Amino acid sequence: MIRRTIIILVSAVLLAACSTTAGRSVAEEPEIYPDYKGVTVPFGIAPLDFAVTDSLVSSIDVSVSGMSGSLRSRGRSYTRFPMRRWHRLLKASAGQTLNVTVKAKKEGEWITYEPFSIHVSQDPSDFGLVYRKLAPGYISYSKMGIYERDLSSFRERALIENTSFTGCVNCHTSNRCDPESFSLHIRGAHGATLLRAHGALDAYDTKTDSTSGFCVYPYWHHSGKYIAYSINTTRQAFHEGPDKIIEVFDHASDIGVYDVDNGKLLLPPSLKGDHKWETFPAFSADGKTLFFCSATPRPIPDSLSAIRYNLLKMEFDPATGETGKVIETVLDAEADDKSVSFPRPSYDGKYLMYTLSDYGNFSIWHHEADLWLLNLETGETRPIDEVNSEDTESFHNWDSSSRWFVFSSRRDDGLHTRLYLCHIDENGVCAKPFMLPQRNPKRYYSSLFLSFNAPEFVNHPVPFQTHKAARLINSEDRTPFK
Amino acid sequence: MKIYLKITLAAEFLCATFLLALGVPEHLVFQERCQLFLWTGEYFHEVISVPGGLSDWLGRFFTQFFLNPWIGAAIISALLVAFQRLLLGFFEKVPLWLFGLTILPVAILCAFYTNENAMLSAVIALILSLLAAHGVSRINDRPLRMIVAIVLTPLLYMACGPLSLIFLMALSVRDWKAAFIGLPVLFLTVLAATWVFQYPIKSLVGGIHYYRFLQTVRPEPWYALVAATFPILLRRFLPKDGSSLVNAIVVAVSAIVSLLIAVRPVLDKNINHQKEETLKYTILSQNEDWNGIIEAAEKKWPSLSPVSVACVNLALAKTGQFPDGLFKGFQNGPQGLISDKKVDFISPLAFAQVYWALGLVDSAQRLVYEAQESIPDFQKSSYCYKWLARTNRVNGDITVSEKYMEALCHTLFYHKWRPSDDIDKISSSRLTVKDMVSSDENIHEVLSLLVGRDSSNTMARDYLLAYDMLSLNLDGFVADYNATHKSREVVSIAYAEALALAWARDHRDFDGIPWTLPDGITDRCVSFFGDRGANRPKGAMKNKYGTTYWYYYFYHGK
Repeated sequence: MIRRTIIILVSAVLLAACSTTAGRSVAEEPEIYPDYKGVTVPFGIAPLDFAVTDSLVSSIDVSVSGMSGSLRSRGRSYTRFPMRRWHRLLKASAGQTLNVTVKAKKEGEWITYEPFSIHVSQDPSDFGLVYRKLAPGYISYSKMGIYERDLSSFRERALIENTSFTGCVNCHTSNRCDPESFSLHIRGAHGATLLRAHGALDAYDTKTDSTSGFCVYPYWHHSGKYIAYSINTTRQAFHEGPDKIIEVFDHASDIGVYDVDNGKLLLPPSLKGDHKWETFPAFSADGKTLFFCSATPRPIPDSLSAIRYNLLKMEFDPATGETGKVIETVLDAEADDKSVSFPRPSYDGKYLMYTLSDYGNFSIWHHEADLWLLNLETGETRPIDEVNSEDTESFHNWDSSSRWFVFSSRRDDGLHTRLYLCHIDENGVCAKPFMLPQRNPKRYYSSLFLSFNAPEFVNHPVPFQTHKAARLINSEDRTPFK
Repeated sequence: MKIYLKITLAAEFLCATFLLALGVPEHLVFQERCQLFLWTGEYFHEVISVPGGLSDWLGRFFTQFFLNPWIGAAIISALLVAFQRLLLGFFEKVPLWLFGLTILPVAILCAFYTNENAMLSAVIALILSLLAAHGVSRINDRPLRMIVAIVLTPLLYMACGPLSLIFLMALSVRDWKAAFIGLPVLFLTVLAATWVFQYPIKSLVGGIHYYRFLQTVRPEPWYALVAATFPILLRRFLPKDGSSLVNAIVVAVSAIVSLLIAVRPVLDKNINHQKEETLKYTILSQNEDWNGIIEAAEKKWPSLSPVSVACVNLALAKTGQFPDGLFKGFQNGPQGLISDKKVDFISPLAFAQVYWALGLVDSAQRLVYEAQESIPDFQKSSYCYKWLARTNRVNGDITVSEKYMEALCHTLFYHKWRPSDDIDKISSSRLTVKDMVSSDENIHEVLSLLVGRDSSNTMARDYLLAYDMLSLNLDGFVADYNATHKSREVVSIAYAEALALAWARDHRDFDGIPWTLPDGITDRCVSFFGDRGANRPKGAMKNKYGTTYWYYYFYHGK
């Protein structure tokens, strides 16, 4: 009797554990969020959890399989791939394609969708990302911070938040993904530029007698000896029509190069003055060229939509920190009634990625802004159609191998910026980008009213001394730029 | 508990409720407007993950009900009485003098809560800590009691913040050794917190969310904590029963001092006139209680802040009394009509209403967003979320609009809210000039464009003309009036006065005046100039002509 009971119980459990997902198949792929269908990912990436967007779906059963193994996730409407098994599968599947089969229970019936693929690249990506998270607002700002995200997990840690001081965390960058050298600008009552160089963190006052404002957009020279900055007088204006709400523009801007070892701000005469507005400096991969954007000043606000930035370059001597006298136009965007912003040379020296918009230089608020790729060897330039969407694509950065890049996009809802990562091969062909993975991404992103901003790769955890930084910011002491 | 103590506690509850509900009702409603309480795990986790988080979460929970100021006042009063009751619970016998001493911390906290930025988390932190002390005091096994006290100390700091110090102080009544050992544990906990959490040390020591301004540590909760320790410390030294005279004196002095402490901020609010006036009119405006605004203005016209004047002007427009009601009271320039200069968490919300009513949806959205982003403790606002759902929907950003509505679905009182249908009327009349940028500097241009876009936008036309009048720009007024008036239009009194004045500047009489003005206007204008020419005192001019545009034109600001 007891034996029979046990057999019945065990059978019942086994039956319950067996797949009850037999049902009909449909010749279409499932609608999922985020859209990870056909994306290419690095093998160390965190699980690409996704949700089935059909609101009638009550359960899902998802399997991910490749030549080297498989794993499974079952849930109500979103996946929760086990971290370790995911990493094992992806590592074993580097260079291969995984098939993702989604079965969904809809109105009592199981439906098996056409499998979609996820390509696992053999190219590893860097350790993580550093970005700012803040509300896509106007003048006032509430809580914001600089955060580091480990790309192999969902772990995000706050490097610094403005709960520890009164002010705003602004532009930040590391030296070619190496956070041992790090620059961070703080705005507000305790304004400063925090510089971490040669292992030491210090707070600087970057305004000098010769400059009109603070050093804002930084770009490290790969040697770590220089940082190119733009010195901007930035303003905002607000539209009164439904297509656009904010315009951010410069009343004036120049470029300077900070000599880190000597503590001196070098101001190339050809990049100073009111005759042109220069901004967004970027060193070439070999450090011998300084790229930047430049526009002819025009009256604001009447001629706001006529302000267009071209991409220019000049020689740079790393030994002396001096710039050449000749300025060359790399891209005459103005001739095409367009404007260039955020030039970012790849670290292998082959390409330069930039954002192109109709006018202005703060392209995140321009729905038409797209990413373009300039081949530095051939001079050819093209829109990255495989990456661009109907909405804003903007601020982008390369990883240290130049095989991956991260960019900001507002394709999700038109307002809140989300991060996408994309693989690019040595021929400049981009794969389908994928959204930064999150656990329960639908819930995460739908309840997140913050934008990701200024993302960049870092090749190891940022050695940022948070409390020292807060103390420096809150103190009055500033080392002046000479 | 003795019956007289119960009656006294009940009386305290009623006194505090009436004091708060009648003294500072706008402050209570304002509290609810400065938060968005979500019934989600993420929200709970976000709030409790800083020191004092649990008391903060509970405080925000109760603040939801401050929609009704009487309920809000009752909740605060109940919490204050609960605090006192818990304090009394540590004493086996409660002589009257002891009871009298416990009124003092309650009064201090009551005074604290007349401040619109005082957060409930402070009193809840004290309550939770006292509850914990009660629980631990009941443990008879001494070593176990000590261990539990040591373990609870850091947990209470995380749950309640630094006011959890009262746990140790209350515990000392039963077990002073456990309390004494708890002190260094608390100190080490706070020290560890300075390394773990990104808040200034003074906030981690003084309390993060006891006051809305994160960088400010208000002393009142600490005064209350200190006052609460008097009976604890004194009970060992003073008799368990006092003489009738001593009891009576202590209670009387305590009650009088407490009354003065509690009532003083309500009286003091009359010192900060500008803030109170702004808050009062802004809340009425947020409630869209236009008649309420008119009634308040008729009793006492606001004069201290452009925000409150703007609320009155909007109410006049909404009730069809614009522009004739404009000069019934104080006006001081166009910034009392429409402005986007001031960015804080109160003023922009009033002006957002004006922009919205005009059809300037982007500006309304911007001001609401700015107000929300200016909330000092970084909370969001359910009131602002409703507005942003509305404005984004008009802008065609349906996904963003639904994002806000989805968030509101997780609230207690707004989960069924949906934007009303009349927003479709707004979207049809609004500006679509693509690269029009608006600011205080070009508001006149924007208003002109609005009127040109849609002649049925009578509010835009009235505001355009009022803008000219309040800017003392008579030439502009005449040009705009001529461009926008309709042939059979009955000229309002205020416009007629401005037209008469414009004519009188350049003409000796009103013969040939091109506008048909209401009877009596020209005669009165002549009379005004006659009296002015005779240098009649300003007071007399105000008595006779104070509600005219002429008086404003020549005497405002003087």
